Amino acid sequence: MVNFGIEFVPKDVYWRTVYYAIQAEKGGFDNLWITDHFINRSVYVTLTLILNYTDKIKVGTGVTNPFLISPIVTASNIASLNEVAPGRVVCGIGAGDLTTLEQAGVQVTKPLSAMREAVQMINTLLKGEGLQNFEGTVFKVKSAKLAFKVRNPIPIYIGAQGAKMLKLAGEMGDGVLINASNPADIREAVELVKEGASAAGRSMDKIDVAAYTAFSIHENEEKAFKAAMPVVAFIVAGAPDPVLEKHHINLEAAKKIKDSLVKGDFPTAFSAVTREMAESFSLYGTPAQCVEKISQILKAGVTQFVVGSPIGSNVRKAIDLVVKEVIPHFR
Amino acid sequence: MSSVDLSEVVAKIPKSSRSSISTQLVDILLNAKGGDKLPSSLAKSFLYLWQKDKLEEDEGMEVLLRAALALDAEATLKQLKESNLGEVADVIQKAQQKGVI
Repeated sequence: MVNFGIEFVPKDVYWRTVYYAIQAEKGGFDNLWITDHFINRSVYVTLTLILNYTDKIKVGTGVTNPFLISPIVTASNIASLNEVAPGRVVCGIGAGDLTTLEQAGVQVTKPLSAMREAVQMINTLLKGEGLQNFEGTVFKVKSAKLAFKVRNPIPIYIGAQGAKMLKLAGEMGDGVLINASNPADIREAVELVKEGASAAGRSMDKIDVAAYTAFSIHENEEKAFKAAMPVVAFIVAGAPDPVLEKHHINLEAAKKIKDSLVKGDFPTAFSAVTREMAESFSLYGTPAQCVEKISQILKAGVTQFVVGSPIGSNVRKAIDLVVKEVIPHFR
Repeated sequence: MSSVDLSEVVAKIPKSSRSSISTQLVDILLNAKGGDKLPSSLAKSFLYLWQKDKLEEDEGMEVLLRAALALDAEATLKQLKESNLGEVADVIQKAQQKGVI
């Protein structure tokens, strides 16, 4: 049986995010992910509050990154969070959003090595072991050890999109958060995760394969599309040309969106998003359409479907639609 | 009007309409501008009662009303009137005019 996850961006006051988290738990979601961007509310404050107001849903960073936050600090944060609700915490980590990191003045070098080393470091510290003279190519640690015990294993999920990172997730991750929404992209991604797992002699049964989608649902398809447009605009603007070409997206149209976003002209950028772009980079539609699209994604070997931002124009109603008209089709 | 009196106002809301009223008040709370203006104690009570499925009970309705009035009094009163709770809206409006709510 597939698990359902949901992602929230803590861009609003904490109590609204916690309200939706409680709603998600009541509705039967299994996992909850909170994004980690310094422009928004702290992921750990948000997760702590969510754990205090929920009883069973598993929660995690979706995702943190090793460049802005040292993996040592991440290990400490995750272990502390786990004390609030032992066994309900997972760690989601990815290479991070280049644009945001550049804004913060953080240089992203060797993302693959950084991720490999970060996962090793976090795993080691969460197991209660110390890092002694750790000599990675990106991270070097003289001596570090948590001064408190973590009483249960904490799964680490690797956020991935590119081929090498997907293989790394198969090699090292307890789970993978595939950053894609299109069934064909997800099929390809799962194959790469399998390759990585196979090369490391790991069984896929040990890996939670999550499709981390940009999702938008509404009873009216046009409204679902419109709600997806801002998120799709940012995805298109950040996508390399080969990715756009693969999806038959006009490069000139994509450039116009990017230029508009750079200028801060959001209405122009958002209104330039086409159906083709939205089909490629989001999963949107009526409940029946979403059920059909999710069914296609699950055939790829996905074990967790993540309802990601924006979810819908009205988040409460959108969650309600997923709970009442989507999840029951898969349970 | 004191805080105790608001519980008397809540008592005027029929049980049969509490489900829809509570949802409408929640939507006002979730969509109003200036969510950071909600007093922390009200926010915590709201979340606790939501977690415990008590928003439709007297205590929950009172917290919802207080919170919705704090964030968007105009929309809250309009919603009450549209939900055939004009009497409730009038009592609250008079209390507001006296500056006691």
